[in-house]
Order: sequence, then structure tokens, then C-alpha cells
Amino acid sequence: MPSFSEAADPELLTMAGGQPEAFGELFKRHSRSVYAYCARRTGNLDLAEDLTSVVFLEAFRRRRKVKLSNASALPWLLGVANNVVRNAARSARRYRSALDRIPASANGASSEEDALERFRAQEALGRALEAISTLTRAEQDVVLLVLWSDLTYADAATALGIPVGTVRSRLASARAKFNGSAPATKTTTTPLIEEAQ
Amino acid sequence: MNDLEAPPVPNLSDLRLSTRQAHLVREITVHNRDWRRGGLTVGSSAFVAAIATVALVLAGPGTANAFAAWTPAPTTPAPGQVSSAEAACERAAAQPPPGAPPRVGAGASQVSLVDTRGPFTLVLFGANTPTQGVLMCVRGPSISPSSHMSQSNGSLPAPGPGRLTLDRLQGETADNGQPYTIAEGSIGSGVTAATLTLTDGSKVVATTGNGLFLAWWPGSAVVTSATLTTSTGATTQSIISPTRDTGSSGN
Repeated sequence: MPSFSEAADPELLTMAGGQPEAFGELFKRHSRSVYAYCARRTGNLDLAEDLTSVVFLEAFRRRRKVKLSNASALPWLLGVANNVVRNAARSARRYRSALDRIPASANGASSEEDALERFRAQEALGRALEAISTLTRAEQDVVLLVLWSDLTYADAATALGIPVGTVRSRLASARAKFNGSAPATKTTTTPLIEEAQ
Repeated sequence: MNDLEAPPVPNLSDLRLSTRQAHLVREITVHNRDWRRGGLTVGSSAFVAAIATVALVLAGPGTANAFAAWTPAPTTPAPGQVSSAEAACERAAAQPPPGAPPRVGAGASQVSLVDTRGPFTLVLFGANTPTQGVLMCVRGPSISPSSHMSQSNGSLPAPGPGRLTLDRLQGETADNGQPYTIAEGSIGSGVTAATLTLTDGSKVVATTGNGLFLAWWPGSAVVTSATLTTSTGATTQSIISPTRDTGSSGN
């Protein structure tokens, strides 16, 4: 009998239509990375958890349109996540009923210690988002994917649907602005959170 | 922050992730099938019961499609939904219709498993109690109250680890003539989720717990296979459905 844990990501994606558990295996493999991306993008851990669910629901909906050029589905999933977060309010509306069916045990802090850790993490996320707010949205995208999610330049290009050279140039620009060697125009990131709420 | 360093993000616990993984699988199971066929899965009965009693209480105003609100995967119950179904089930068990065989006393039995799908609730009483048999109650809208009895074929061997045993298929008919089918059985150790594949190709996610599973769906299709999830992945097990029992029910 087949074991999903041994299947490669492209195989799981192919099987997912007839065997939803195959897509569950993709979630198992990549949900932590998607969650971390959503958390760093929004600065809101609770919202990031729901957005992670939305990312996979949206990815399932789009699965037939994608042909993975990489053994890992993560670059594609982070590309979906980038769009989901960018349109968080619309995404939340589309999947509101599905989100309402998530068991309560999947939400919120499980202990006082957990709550404290989450509070501190959200403070750190807020500071980090403030720090990159001088970058353009496009520059933030490559920072989030290459520097904060450890994608290669090629994988980040796949996720964003742009040439690798563009990833390099945007990252160089971001670093230059961040280090103060280029003029910066502050770009607020908080509307992403407010829009989704 | 120095040189665009990544801010730390606390790890999600395995429990939280597995809960959301199960939710994802259920959601895409629901959206990946024809909604018109719909399906509802419920709790399950005991393979150890010599006589199994199945009582179905389907309450609500009649509509053209009794199963319009049925879903093929479990949902979170509304406040009071489960307690209301339990009470209706106990009332049905206490007042068997004329000519119907005697039933187990639901009030004297423990609830073994509860499954909710939209407005429908199925409560399983007294499973794995060798002397009492079991009582299952489904409550939902658009179907007037009815109850059904059936006799089991006796004890079946417990399934092995990671396996499933389908003990019984119960065929029933709603007020408007629409048939529906209940499947009940047992799951072996390590099984965390079960999805049944029917002869018409549709899939129904079962509610599992306490070593049991139960499911029901509109129509007369029977089970051909079950996809079982364990900690090591998912496997598919072929199922030879028992004869669909329709002859011993009564209202």
C-alpha cells in the first residue's frame, strides 16, 4: 500500500485530487514554514495560523494550474502565501466558512507560558516589520523569502514569478536601503494586518 | 535588528498542526465531491454486541431534499445540538413504535461517540458493552422522527493495528422516500482518521474514537475501501461490504 510520507511533493500534488490525505501530507511537511512566513509578513501569530490554513486551501484550489519545477512544493506554497497575505481580507472572506469549522483546540495559547512566548514573539515581529518598513513591498517580498524563509534566489523567483536577476537586484536594493546607503521611503506594513481583521 | 535578520517565530505544537491538518483534509474532501450527493458520517457500534439496536431520530420540518444540509465530513456542533440529539434519542428508545422489537435503554448507556455534520447529529450509546447492544440516534432537519431496529450478525474480530473492520451497513429511508445508509465498525490501534470510498466514487469522512467509527450518507451506495491515517502515513484498505440490512427496521 502506498505511503504518502515516502512520496515526493509533485507526486502528492498529483494524488491530492483523489486522495485528500496526500495534500494533508504536504501540509505536514510545509505548514511550519508557511506559518512562519505568514507570521513574519503580518506580525500577528493568531492571524498567521488561520492564514496558513487558507494558504493550503487556496493551494488545493490552484493545484491543477501548477507544474512544480522543483522537488519541493515550498517555493510555490510561499508564493501562494504571498498572494494570500497580500489579499488577506479577500482570502479570509472566501474561506470564512472553512475557518469557522476549525476546532477550538487549534487556536489560541495553550498555557500561560505559551501565551508569554507568543506575546514576546509578536513584539519582536512588530519590531522587525517596522525595521523593513523603509523597503518597498517588492523588496520586502524578497527579504521575506530569501533572508527570512531561506529560499534560494531561484526558488524565490519561482515563488514570486519573476526572473532570478530581479530577485538579486531587489535584494541588493533592500540591503542598500537598510544599511543606509540609499534613500528610503517608508512603506507601512500594518494595513496587511488591519485589512485581514 | 542587524543586517535584516529574521525575527524568531514560535513553533506551533504538533497537536495544533495535526488538528489543522485534519481540518484541511476534511475541507478538501467536502469540496472535492459533488455536493448534491452529500454525505454524513457518524459514530459506530460494537462488534461485541450480540444484539445491536439502531434507533434513528430524524426530526424537523419536511423538505424536498431531506439531506440538503448533510455534509460528508464532520463539523463543529452548534450550542445545544448534541444535548438535544441525546434527549431525542433517549425519548425514542423509551417509546418504541408498536410491533418494534425492544431496544436498549439509551438512558442507562454511556455515550460512546458523537458526530455532527451541519445540523445533523448522530449519538452512539453503549458501544463495546457486551450485554446491552448499542443505540445510535441521528437528529437533523427536514426529516420527521423515525426509528429503526436491526440485529447484528454477532461479534466480529477486532481489527489489527492500522486497520478497519466494517461490521454493518444499515439501509434506511427518509420520509420523502430518499434512502440513506449507515456504516458502523471498529478501527485498530493507531488509526487517527478514516475516509470511506463508496461504490459511486464519493468519499465520506468518518468520525472515529474509542476504537470505533460510524458514517452515514444519502443513497444506497456501499463501501469499497477505506483510507486510514496513522502516524506513519495513510494507507488504503479494500473493504468487502456486508449485506445492506434493510429488513428489520421499524418505525
